[in-house]
Amino acid sequence: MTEQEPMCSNECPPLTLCAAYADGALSATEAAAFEQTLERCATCRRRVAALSAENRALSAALAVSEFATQQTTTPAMEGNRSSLLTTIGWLVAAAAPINAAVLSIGAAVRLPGWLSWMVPDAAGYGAELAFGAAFDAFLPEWSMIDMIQHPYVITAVAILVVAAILWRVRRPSESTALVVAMSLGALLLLPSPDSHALDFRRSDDRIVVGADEVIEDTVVLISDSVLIEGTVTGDLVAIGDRVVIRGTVNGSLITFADNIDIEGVIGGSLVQAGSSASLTGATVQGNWLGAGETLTLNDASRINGNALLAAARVEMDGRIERDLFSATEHLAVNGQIGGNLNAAAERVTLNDGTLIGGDLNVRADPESVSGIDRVSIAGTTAIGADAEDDERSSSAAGGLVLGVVKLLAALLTGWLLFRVVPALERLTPGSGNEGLITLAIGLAVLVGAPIAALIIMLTLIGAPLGIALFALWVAFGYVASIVTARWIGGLVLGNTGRSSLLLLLTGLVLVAFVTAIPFLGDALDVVATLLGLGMLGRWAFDDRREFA
Amino acid sequence: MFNRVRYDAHYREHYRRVRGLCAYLLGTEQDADDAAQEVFARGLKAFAKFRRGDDFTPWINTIARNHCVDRLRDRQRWARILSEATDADDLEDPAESPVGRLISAHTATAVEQALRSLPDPYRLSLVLAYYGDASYDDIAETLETTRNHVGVLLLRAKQRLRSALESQEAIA
Repeated sequence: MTEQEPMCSNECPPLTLCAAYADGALSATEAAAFEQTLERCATCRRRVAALSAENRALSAALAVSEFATQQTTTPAMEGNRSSLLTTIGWLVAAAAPINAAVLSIGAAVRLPGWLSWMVPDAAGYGAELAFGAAFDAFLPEWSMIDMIQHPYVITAVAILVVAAILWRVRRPSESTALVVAMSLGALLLLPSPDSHALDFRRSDDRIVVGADEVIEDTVVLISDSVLIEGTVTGDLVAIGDRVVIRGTVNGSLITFADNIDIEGVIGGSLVQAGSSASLTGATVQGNWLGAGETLTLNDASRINGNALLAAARVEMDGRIERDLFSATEHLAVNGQIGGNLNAAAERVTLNDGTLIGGDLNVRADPESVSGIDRVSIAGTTAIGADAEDDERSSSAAGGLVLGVVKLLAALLTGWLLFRVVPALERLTPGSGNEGLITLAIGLAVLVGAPIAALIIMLTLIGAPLGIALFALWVAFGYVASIVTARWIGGLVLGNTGRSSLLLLLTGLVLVAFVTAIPFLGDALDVVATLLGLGMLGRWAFDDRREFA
Repeated sequence: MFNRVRYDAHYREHYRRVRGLCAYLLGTEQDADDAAQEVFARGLKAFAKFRRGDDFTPWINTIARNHCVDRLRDRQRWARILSEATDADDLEDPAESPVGRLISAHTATAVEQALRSLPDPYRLSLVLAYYGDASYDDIAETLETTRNHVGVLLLRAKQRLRSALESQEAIA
């Protein structure tokens, strides 16, 4: 087909030299020498041109062929002995002895007021409600309130949340599932509550536990109608159309039913969801966590813990020893509340018999609250759209001035910060899953640093170190929002050709506006701080090049 | 722990490309996932030695190259092919028989098929040079030959590729 020419004339270098040149395999001096040859020799020039064209064609073909562009999704990594989740698993497991240490020595440590949530027996109201009822329901043998106030538990829950996020990000694999399961197990087994055997009964029609019957177990009952007149020594899980408890449940009652009637005694907590639930002459030793259309507590009923109720209508005529937190359309109270009454409602009716041992906080239109003058309230009363938010309901002008001062302070701090550490100005949380990981790291820093500081403090000699870590953590929290604001500023205006002060100011103003939105603003504020902490955390420990 | 987060980011970014490289090097789609997983598992073990700020691509490519070649290596057969292939006599002049135009005239799938039909050393050298961004030295080390021979091997490999494409044409 082609006429075989002699490969190289006398002047021409070997073909391999042309190839090496075209492949970029010659050293700089070799290449320079060869280029002189090229200038003289048309044959060599043709060859090099042909070879270069070949290379380009081949590279292009390889890059787009099916092998390279197979639509495979990236599978989870296998064989990762030292994965992040394994680390988390170890942390949770290792927390057991730390748990004991904190319990025994924790009470001796006195922290300033704003850190009081970390100290056992002083946990915040929110954590108490959020974790308390849920844990109480599943682990009734624990002294619930003591436990949830425990920083370790909060840490463990946070770690699990981080693990869950990472799990979601990385796609589940057997090993990650195992580690998450082990972490959960380590957490739940920590104080090893007495275990009950589990009894499971199911019937299409009706299950009745007679008055003289005692179930020595934790029991799960599923039927159209469940009637308990006897005693359940463990927990009772009842699922059906109608659930009636006239007897005694020594553990917690967890029930999902259309109609729930409780006339007996619940030794643990009551967790309930259904269209209507009524407690008539009932006693609940723990918390009541209820959701439904109508929830009623009659005057002979009593909740010894907190009540957290979400329903269209709540009628509370009985007695709640601790706090009542209620999110309802209509809340009617004619009973006694030992602690605070916190309500977000469209309408609140307080009747003559109402006694409130703590504060009254109602987030509602003041005109829709009736009977406030008829009731006895031991603590303070706050009613209004922003009832719980004293700071914001203070003079609007004062708030504005304070806001501007805060903004200027942040601007100055940020400007100084970016002068000292210019790299911080270029931090980004990354997109997609990277962003989620940044968020997770932020959460880990937010929760982990104070816990670490407390643990360091407990070792006596570590007290100064622990205090330093606290200080650093507080500073990080402040810097975090500035870093996030700077990032947002860059996002909005573009990073090129703008003064960094302008970008920072834009970000800070935007953040200030967004976080001022009621309800949503607080959540976004937390996200902004977490993102910032995550970026700082990654920057401190991570490959800095990626952010440059 | 942070190393691991860092490595995971690299993994997500590079997995598909490395998997493609493995498929080319092994000449088959079948074991590509398995090989790629193994490459990243080896990478994780060696990640402590990876210096921050270095380019991850050549680093993981080297691991992929070594792993895939380990899987394929058939010393005797390779030695025979290499001794034939690296004989610098009667090489065709690329200016007279341009493979470039021929490749451009074929679909990427056809090129890939032709590539797959080549004996290991030819395929490996082409893939390493034109997909894996390997230098002559890298290829020489991988195939256990000399740098000078790599140039000849690549020229021969291109010629073989051309004949493979031509024979595909003939069948079609």
